Amino acid sequence: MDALTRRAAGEEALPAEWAARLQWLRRRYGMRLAWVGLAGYVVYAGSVLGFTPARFWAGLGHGYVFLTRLLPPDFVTRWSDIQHDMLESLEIAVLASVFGIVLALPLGLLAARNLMPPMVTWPVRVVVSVSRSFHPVIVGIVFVKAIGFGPLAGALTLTIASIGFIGKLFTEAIEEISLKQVEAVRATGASFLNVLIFGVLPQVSARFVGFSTYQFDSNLRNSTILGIVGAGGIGGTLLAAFQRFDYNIVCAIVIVIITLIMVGEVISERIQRWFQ
Amino acid sequence: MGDRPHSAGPTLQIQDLTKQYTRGQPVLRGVSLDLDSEGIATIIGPSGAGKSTLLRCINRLVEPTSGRVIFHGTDLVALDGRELREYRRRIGMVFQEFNLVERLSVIENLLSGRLGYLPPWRAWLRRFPEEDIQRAFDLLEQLGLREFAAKRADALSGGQRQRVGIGRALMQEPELLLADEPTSSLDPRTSAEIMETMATLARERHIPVIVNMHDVNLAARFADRMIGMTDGRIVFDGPPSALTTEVLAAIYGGEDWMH
Repeated sequence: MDALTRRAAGEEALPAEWAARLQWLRRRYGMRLAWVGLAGYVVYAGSVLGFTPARFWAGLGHGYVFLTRLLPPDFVTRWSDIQHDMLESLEIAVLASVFGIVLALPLGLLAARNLMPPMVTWPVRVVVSVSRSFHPVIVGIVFVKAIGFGPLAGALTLTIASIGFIGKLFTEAIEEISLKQVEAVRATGASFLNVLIFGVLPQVSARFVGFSTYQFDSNLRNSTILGIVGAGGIGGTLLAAFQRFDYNIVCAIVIVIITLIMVGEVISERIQRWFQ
Repeated sequence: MGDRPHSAGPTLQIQDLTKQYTRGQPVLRGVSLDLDSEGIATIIGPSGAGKSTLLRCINRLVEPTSGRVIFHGTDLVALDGRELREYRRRIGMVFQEFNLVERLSVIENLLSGRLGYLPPWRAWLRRFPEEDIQRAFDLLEQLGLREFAAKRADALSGGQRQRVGIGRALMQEPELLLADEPTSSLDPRTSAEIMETMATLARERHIPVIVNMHDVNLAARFADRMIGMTDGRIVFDGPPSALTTEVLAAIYGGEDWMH
């Protein structure tokens, strides 16, 4: 009797089933242990950091005082600074988005495992994932040290961030395409570039526009914080206002930032709808 | 169309072709086949007999393990890169699931049959030569799809999509047409109509056709020649009239299913 008939006759079935049950029980047991461990760590971390309800309530009181001191917003005193830095933030976001997208497009493509050999995808994947590993503030500090204070450092920082995120998302989008459509274009004798243009891009272009507008939103947000480490934009003025206790100016800046980001969101939504 | 070489010899000679995707499990076990410069040959056989693989080995969408595929005197198995693409564009292919680029318009799908002749910048800008565009619209007219030119391919019904698939292959002005189960995703009536369309257009243009099919009756209806495959080998090769019960039993194994 061969193995298949034996299994069909049920002679090998029982031990296999027991093993599976045992494994399942073990997994349940491990799962419970993991939950208990997590709960224990939360309590430990809270106690180490002095995270007590009493402190939380006291903090809420301070927060209320702070909120009252924010009002009314003062748009007048530092308006020229606010205006200049806000435009700088916008410029950083636009530059970083454009350069980031332009660079992420080929990198994302080169990292797609269904179109490229491993020899190409691996190094590109490393580059893209390194670009994504650090928070923009950390990358910003590095660029400020390397090339000096100012918006150039900010723009480069967010370019790196854009490459990291769009590159990865674009790669994933390409890896999900239908290869049947690609095969048909290949069968016409089209060159590799033509296969990309007719077989691959139409399948991913709408999603790529989505990723790009999302990244622009994100760059706009991040461009308002990079000034804190001296990489240009509104963040520097915001920090200065905090440190001088000019809370009314802080309030004005925050309102301007919120407005800018909302406008950015509306614009990117329009763009996405236009490309659908 | 005029300058196509219509050599007197066979269009295609397949010699001792083998293919194994995994070692020790051959899908094609030495297939040899000569194809004339006209007519419709249908390949029938059970699922897994290697019909699709055979077709894809011809235009090298699948790499053969060994053997030769001689197309107008040139062994395609020995070609690479640009040379292979230049031969590939002379062979049109129609697919089971149509394989249209769903998000492109019908006319763009048709024109994609010319991509082998277009530099990338022109493909990017959709700058196809005037005569290609004219021919695409003429073909669309013949396929009865004139008003669908600007529609996206995913808005079409199955039969309409396969017409576009046939149109795309014919846009290549192919010297050989391969059709891999072109009607398996369609209802019986549409299947017959699609076969009719493909047969008519190919005969008008004197293009030899190889069609893989599941439906034996439909295959016999349109075939000048039928080839039966079982387990990676050709077990029958003859006119539809020679396709007796015994032959079918040899191809599909057993006779019980026929009654």
